[in-house]
Amino acid sequence: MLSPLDFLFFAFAFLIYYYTNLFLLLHFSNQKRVNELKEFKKLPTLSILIPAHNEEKNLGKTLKNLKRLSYPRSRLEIIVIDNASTDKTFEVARKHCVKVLRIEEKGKAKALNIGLRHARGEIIGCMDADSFASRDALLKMVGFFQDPKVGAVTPSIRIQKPKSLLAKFQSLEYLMILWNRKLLDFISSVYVTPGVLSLYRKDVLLQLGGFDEQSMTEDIEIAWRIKEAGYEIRMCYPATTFTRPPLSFKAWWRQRIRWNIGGLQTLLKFKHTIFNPRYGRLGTFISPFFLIGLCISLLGFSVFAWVWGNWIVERILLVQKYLEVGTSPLRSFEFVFLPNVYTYFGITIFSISLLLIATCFRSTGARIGGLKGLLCLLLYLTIYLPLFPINLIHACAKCARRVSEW
Amino acid sequence: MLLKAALISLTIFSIGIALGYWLDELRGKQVISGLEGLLLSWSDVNLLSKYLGVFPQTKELCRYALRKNLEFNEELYRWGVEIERMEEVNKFTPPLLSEKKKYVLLKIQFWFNVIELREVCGFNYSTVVYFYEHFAKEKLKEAEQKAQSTALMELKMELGEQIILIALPLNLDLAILELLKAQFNLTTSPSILINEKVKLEGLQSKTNLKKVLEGFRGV
Repeated sequence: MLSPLDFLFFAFAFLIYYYTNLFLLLHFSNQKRVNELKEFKKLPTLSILIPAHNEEKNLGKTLKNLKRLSYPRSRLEIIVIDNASTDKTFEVARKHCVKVLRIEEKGKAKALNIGLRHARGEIIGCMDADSFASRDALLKMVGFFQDPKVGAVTPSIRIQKPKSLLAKFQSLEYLMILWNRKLLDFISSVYVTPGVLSLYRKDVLLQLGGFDEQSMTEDIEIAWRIKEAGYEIRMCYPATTFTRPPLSFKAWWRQRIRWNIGGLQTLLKFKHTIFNPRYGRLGTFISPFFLIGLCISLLGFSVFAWVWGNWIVERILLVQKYLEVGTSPLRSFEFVFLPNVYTYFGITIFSISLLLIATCFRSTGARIGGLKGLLCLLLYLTIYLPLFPINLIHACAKCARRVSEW
Repeated sequence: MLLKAALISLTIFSIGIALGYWLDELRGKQVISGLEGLLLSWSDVNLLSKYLGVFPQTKELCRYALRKNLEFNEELYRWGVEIERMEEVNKFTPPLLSEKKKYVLLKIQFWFNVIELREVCGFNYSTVVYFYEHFAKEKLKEAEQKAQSTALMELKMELGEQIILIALPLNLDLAILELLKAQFNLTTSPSILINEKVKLEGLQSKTNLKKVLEGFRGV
């Protein structure tokens, strides 16, 4: 008979069906709109803020790249905010003849707020010191600000030529994210303005009081505040920006802890919007989507761990008892296929998920790349993705202890 | 778009629930019809023993009756496994408690039948009745019961027709089971009753069981 665990599984199954079907529907209904661009008759002035903490190795290349962008130099201002660096970040910035501000306190949001106060542009770009935008990225992105309701615009973010396995996993992940984000753009539900590169209407930023200096992920927090204030966030799919992923597992793990803590902070701060239609898409989709994702991750992993944990304990006890009665613990496994409702849900969820991944690959132009690529994808699904709920649990524990190191 | 996605998801989900229910029902019906077949087989096998009590027996007749009883036991065991699998896998239909009880009653009748057959025909096989807890809640007990039943099955394969193995749940609500519990003071599981004379409580190794069986004639 049905147990509470069964009902929980059915609820998860329905939610997974819902979100995968939603993304597939959004994709198939909007295929022609993916690469849409808006033309700006008169280009706005643009200030790019680059907060940098000990970025002497990457900053130079980023600044060179920025100077090569096709945005008119007369309408582009670059400001580097040296965020308490102990290396030669300041000197590297000065060498590239850009405006450099120096602050003693650490904190990316603080650095951005100081840069915002000094920026002259109508549009503010926030960029990481190790990001590289494609030549026409800025030109393509600013067009969306024609619509006065647009408060921010984000590009496609990819990882360029990943070499290590971890980098390849992240490359796959970023591919899924950028595709999903464009689909969410079709229902006005872009929920983050990534720090890699995002453009904001300066007036909106000032109206909202700048970035939250207490948040560990000011890029998500500001995005939700922009939505809460009634503005739109758009995603410019054809504008590409490349980022450097963490190359060691430890650095990756710390990054994801920070993202998760920031996400939790944001969700708690905006809990009043959940399922509240007064806040438009923020209340009817974004915050519930986040909350449901959190619940599925935490509960799903907990149930999975409990079921497998039980199975392992049962096997250990069984082996012990087999030895006690004098029979061999090594038995041939008799597989009997008895389909039930779980079989159906398992097969359909697997099939729809595969369709989602295949559609994402086709839409983003990514290729599996032969047997090696297929193996990488399999490892991504079976080893990399299951790390996410474990990281989330770790983040929840840290959140509870109120650790806030970056 | 959100509503469309919800409707499609609801459709896929509902199909799954309906399919799951249909599969459970189908399995349930198979078990019910299987048990009806078993009842028929039992009537036939039971009459064989009655026949031996009424008409003069011969060695061939006795061997025939024993063979038919053992075949019936095999069939009973197969359906027992089916019922157990169904109990584990079915989600939507209520547990087939009455079918399980019919099955257990058939097992008990079979047990009494082979006792009678042994007396009438002078056979020297041993009856080994294994009592377990149906749907044991504790993991330790579940492991013990699984290990014990595996050991008994292996013993059966080694000793062949020298033992007749019967497994009965202690915690099914049947008057005959309550009587057996009282008669043989069965308080824990797993427990084993050999030839209605020797009671072994707790986990028993194959070696120990063989020793006990050797104490009876013919093993």
